[in-house]
Amino acid sequence: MAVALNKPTIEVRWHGRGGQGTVTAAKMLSSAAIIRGKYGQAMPEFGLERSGTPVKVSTRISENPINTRAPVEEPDIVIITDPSLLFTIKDVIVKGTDENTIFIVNTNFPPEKVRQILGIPNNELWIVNASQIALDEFGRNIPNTAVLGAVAKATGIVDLDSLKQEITESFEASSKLRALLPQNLKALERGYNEVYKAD
Amino acid sequence: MATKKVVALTGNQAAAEAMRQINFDVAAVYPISPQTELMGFFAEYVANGEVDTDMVAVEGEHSAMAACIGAAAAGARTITASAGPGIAYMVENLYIASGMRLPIVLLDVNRALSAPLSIHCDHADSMLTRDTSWISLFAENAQEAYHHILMAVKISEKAMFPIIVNYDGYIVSHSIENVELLDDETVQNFVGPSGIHRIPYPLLDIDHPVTYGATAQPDYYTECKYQQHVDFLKVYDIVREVFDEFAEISGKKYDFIEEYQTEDAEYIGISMGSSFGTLKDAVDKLRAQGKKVGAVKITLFRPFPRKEIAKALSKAKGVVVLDRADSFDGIGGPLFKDVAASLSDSENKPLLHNFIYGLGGREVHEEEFMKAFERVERLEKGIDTRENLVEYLQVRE
Repeated sequence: MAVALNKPTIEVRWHGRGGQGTVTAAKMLSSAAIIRGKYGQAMPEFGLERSGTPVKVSTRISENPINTRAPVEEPDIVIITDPSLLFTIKDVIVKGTDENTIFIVNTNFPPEKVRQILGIPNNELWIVNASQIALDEFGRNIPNTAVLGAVAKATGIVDLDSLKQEITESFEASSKLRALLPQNLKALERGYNEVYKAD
Repeated sequence: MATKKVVALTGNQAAAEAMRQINFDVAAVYPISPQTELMGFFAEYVANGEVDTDMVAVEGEHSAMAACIGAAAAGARTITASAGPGIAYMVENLYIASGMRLPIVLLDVNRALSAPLSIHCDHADSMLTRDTSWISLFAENAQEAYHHILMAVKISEKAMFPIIVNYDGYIVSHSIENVELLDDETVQNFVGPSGIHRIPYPLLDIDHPVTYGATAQPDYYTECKYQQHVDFLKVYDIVREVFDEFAEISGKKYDFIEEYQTEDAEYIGISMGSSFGTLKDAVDKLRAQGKKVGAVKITLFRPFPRKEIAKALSKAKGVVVLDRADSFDGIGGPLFKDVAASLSDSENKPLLHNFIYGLGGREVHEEEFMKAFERVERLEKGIDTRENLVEYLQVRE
């Protein structure tokens, strides 16, 4: 097991843009852990609630009750759901990370380019073209469910079945989202199958 | 026997679930962040026919409280919710609700006051309510918000005072966490049936006509306030009673304050709301360094648990009082003054120092609280001196 994952509490930091479902994905990740009997926490950092502005979310998954309400400052896992952030807030993305931090990036860039931009030559890095999966499956750049599949594969902090269960429950509860459930379950599986670990 | 299930909910979802289970007669609603979403969730229950609640959409928070006053006087089980400037706008009617001795539940999803405009969390809004003779509870997380709302109905109706349940905007309202829910039947049995005759003097009991909100001239106003004063002191026992009853159905025993590692603590931090978990983690880190520190959480803010605080601090050398609102008065934040006054009859007089933190949603970390403990220890040992009793904990100068 990766050093970053071999501890009772795993801390995840998400970077995305408003309107792409990053907050929802972070909530689904912790919810999926909670329905498996673990403790979970997802805390969005709200800015001005505008579409397109950078969004940061902290997620913790733990074997024990979680007391702290501090945002995650030294993440074990960093998830980037919008590739354009690599160019605009790379300092924010790598803040508090070290050589053990695992990066999961939604991008069509080759891994070398991601490594070079972020300055992470040796970190564990997983790449998934989640935006393309989302466009293929339901025609909109909402990559969150494909990214969740990638997170399950890359880290194992939640399993694919609990994510399926969580996504099914939340989509079925919403009259707006219900019709998009099959496409999102497909995106989840594709994210799981198509994410790859960079050399 | 109560059945429980653990689910993943935000604070607003947990609060909406409590409202559904209680099945209030009337909910007055007006949107303001971060509360809007809460009534949005509840509106779905109303629209789906899952509750019998009469949802009254009003044109502002002042009217929301006016609607609650009318409904509660008539005998309806009544709730509204707001935040920040919405609470400010409602203040006039908060005094009227408590002066009329009406049981009403108000959820304050804590938000800062303008200017500058901020939709984020601090406790300035709730501090506007501290002298209104509303009972006031502060929840640390979504679980407590859910529990507090269930208990609030009962406390309020037994005490015949309105009650505020506070939970931190965004930090609790919009964050997912584990929440253990009770089943509907257990909640219904706990809060008891609604109906106008569960309160004395309902306005709609037309066989026994009464007047609400009459004028009091100088010859009687003081007596009315004195009765209110005397009865508000009875709230302590009622809260304790309901906390005990709630423990029986939920397994969770609340107290006016929660103590953590205070037994042998030389230095004790005090906070309210969501920061307490972070404060506990700060205590753990300092304990690991060999420091004898502890933490106290205020659960019942009004009436203030002065005896419990005095007891908890009876052996402390120094106290870190953490206020999420400033009073701008040259003394300190609201909580600081309450804690200081609570020690009036104490033999042990620990050094008290006040820190203002977390304003307008400023993120709070363990390290900042650890620095506050260090500062108080240095003051207490005479290494540091102070010009003021209060300082800002997190500020770029």
